[in-house]
Amino acid sequence: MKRKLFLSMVIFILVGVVVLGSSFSVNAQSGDKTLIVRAMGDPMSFNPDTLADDFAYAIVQNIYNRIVKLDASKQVIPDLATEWDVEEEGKRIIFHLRDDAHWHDGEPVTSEDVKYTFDTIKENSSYYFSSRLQIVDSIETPDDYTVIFNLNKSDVSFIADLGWYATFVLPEHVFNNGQDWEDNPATMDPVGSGPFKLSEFKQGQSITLIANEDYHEGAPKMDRIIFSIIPDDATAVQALVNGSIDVLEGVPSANVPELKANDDIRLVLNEYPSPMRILFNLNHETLADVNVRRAIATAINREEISQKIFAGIQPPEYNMYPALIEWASNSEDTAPHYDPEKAVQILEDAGYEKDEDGFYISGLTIDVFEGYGYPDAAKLMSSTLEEVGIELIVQVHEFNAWNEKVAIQKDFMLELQGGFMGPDPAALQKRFGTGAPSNFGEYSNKEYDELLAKGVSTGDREERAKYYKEAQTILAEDLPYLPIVAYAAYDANNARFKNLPIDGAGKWGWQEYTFTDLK
Amino acid sequence: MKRYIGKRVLTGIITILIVFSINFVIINIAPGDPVKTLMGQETDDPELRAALEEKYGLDEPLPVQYLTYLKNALKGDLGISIIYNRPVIKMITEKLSATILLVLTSAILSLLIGTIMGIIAARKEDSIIDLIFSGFSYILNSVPSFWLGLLFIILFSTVLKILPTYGMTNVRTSYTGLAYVWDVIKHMVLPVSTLVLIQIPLYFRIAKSSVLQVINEDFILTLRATGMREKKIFNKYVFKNAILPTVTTFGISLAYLITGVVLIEIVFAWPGTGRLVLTAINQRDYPTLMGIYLIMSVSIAVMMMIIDILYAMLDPRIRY
Repeated sequence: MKRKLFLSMVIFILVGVVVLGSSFSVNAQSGDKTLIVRAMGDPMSFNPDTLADDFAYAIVQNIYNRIVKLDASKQVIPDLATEWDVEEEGKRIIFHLRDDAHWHDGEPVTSEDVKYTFDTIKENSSYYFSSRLQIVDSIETPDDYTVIFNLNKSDVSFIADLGWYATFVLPEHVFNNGQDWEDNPATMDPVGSGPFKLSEFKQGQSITLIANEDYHEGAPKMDRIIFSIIPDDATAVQALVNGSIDVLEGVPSANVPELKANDDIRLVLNEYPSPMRILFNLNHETLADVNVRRAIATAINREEISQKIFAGIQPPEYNMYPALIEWASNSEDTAPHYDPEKAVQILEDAGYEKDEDGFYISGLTIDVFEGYGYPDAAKLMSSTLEEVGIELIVQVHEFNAWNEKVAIQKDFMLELQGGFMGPDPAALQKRFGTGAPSNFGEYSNKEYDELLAKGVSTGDREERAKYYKEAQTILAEDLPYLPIVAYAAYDANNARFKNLPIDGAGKWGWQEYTFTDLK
Repeated sequence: MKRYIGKRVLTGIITILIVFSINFVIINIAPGDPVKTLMGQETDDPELRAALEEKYGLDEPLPVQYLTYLKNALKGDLGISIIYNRPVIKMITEKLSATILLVLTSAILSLLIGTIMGIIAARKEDSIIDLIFSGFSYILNSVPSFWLGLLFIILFSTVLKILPTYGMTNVRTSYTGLAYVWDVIKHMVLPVSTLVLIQIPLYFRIAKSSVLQVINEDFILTLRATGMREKKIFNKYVFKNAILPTVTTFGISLAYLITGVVLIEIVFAWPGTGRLVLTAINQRDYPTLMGIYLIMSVSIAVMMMIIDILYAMLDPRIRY
């Protein structure tokens, strides 16, 4: 009896699978052009200006506009502003807005919206861009389509920052009603000015956008963009291969050869000015000696790290500002190349002697967070350093724990990190300027600070490049940090589509789907 | 019996309070905080940090935060998620049905299949069927669930193209009515199969060993000596005695109804509470985490209470 029951259950399950299978077909609705993009998680809200929310960022770029935006090459291009002028050595920035932009409810987008947005952000210290806006003395709106930012010090990099996080222009007539932005219904039901409108948000599942037919750059080519949440990379790759999704950004390097061999999939390398890098704690007795830093720099085999851990996709980086940003990067004065003999020489010349274990220097530690190949890269560094007599112990932490130790307590000797060094080379100030928040190693060089101050006081690119290249020469001498490998990852899409965000350098935004279309 | 139940309820409440306090301390002393998530990975701006800490009351001393939370929780208010700015209770309940659907279906299926297999194997010990079942169970027991899940996706979704890859419903088309139910069932097949296969060895082992144990008891030998039919011995004496451990295991596994099954939910992008827990841990969303842990400890305590009382009823040897 029980055996019969079991047997019939097995048969039932088998039959079930077959029946299910036969009835399954890809449901492509006729006449409705849909693009499905993989998303990693739920957006925190649809107000793009309160927080720097990575999960919302790709979505809100299609719902709202900024004054300027970044394209796939991470350069500034026009958005609401068609052009801009820099006056008074970078203290007065004038934006000329386009006059044909409208909110999704039909109201025109004007300079008053811009002023309202940035005034409100500045007033609310918990909003992401608020502290950056302390540089703004006043915002003038001489007419409906001109906005003037008066800054209290020269800083042309402010323009690029306006195209980065949490700077989207919001509709004053919707938000200016006495409510906090967080409590305004428009925070979950956005009224934007962008190419798409929010249609549906299913927590933990998907975010559906529909085309804004009246968009000022022309109606989007796709009817719907669906951001479908898939937390796991391996599942997302399968979903791309079997056509369940159409776009997957940041393909894991292990899957690249397999996807390259697939004719239905198109891969494009997306490079970022976000090198993996070592920061030295310059308050540490041993590391305060530049000879030690130089010896370490000379004993790290970047080529090996690039090949073994990143399958060559992330190339070695020697330039002190990412080589990707060609106009600002100094390719002549760079971090030293791998040369173990020279590393030993540097140490001996500086008077270091081997102890009984064969180490010139022992007990150094490097703090690394999990994932992204970082712990493995640190282990490779540790092994080449050991060959030249420098002991480096790898300490791996969960990201939040790493951040607490390194960024807040500044309790480290060496640390390995990544992070964006754009959108403007002025990031060199944020990363290594005296007293800057992200300058965890507390590097301080007066000459360097002065060069960076000059770099933001003119809008002339050639002149700016000169200052930044000089600043990099100083970095290459002082070595407060070491670039290891550049950051790059493949973006993949179903080959049926064209004009993806990655194809839009100089034309459209970095994660913008306005012009994406079927071939 | 009344006194026994009263005692169990009291210890249950004390347990919940202790678990709650330990959770609160652990979550708060763990490195990192929700402010980091709110600021974004790229920023370390002390001014912004201070403003956010003040906004969410994280600048208050821990004991004050503890008492405030406890007071609100007793009133049934689990607070507002710092990260998503939504009531925690709402965030949990909207994911609960997806998790219950997945976990309950697979728990019942694996209970039935595993236990039946275990009983068959025990009654025909050392037969070819026992060998096959035991081998099957050993193999499944050593298979990681996320790996099996991915293998199923590759086989059934990518190669055979007969089942959907991920999620709970079709992303391209929204169905209603019966078509919706059918859509959800199709999406359930792979995650449920994975969970069932992973859990079968558990029930198989318990059922087989406890049946074997009971069969070898002296009183069974006595019953056999009286000439009672094997079938009657089994149904009346062996089964009832052997099923107790299975009931306990099943009860405990039902606790996952609330916490979800993290790995499976991630591999199949199933919108359940397991993913909510993991996200809340990564983002250090204190209110959400505390809320989930509280509901979880309450449900486990209640489940254990029910099991204990059930036990007392099934097994007269348990004195109360």
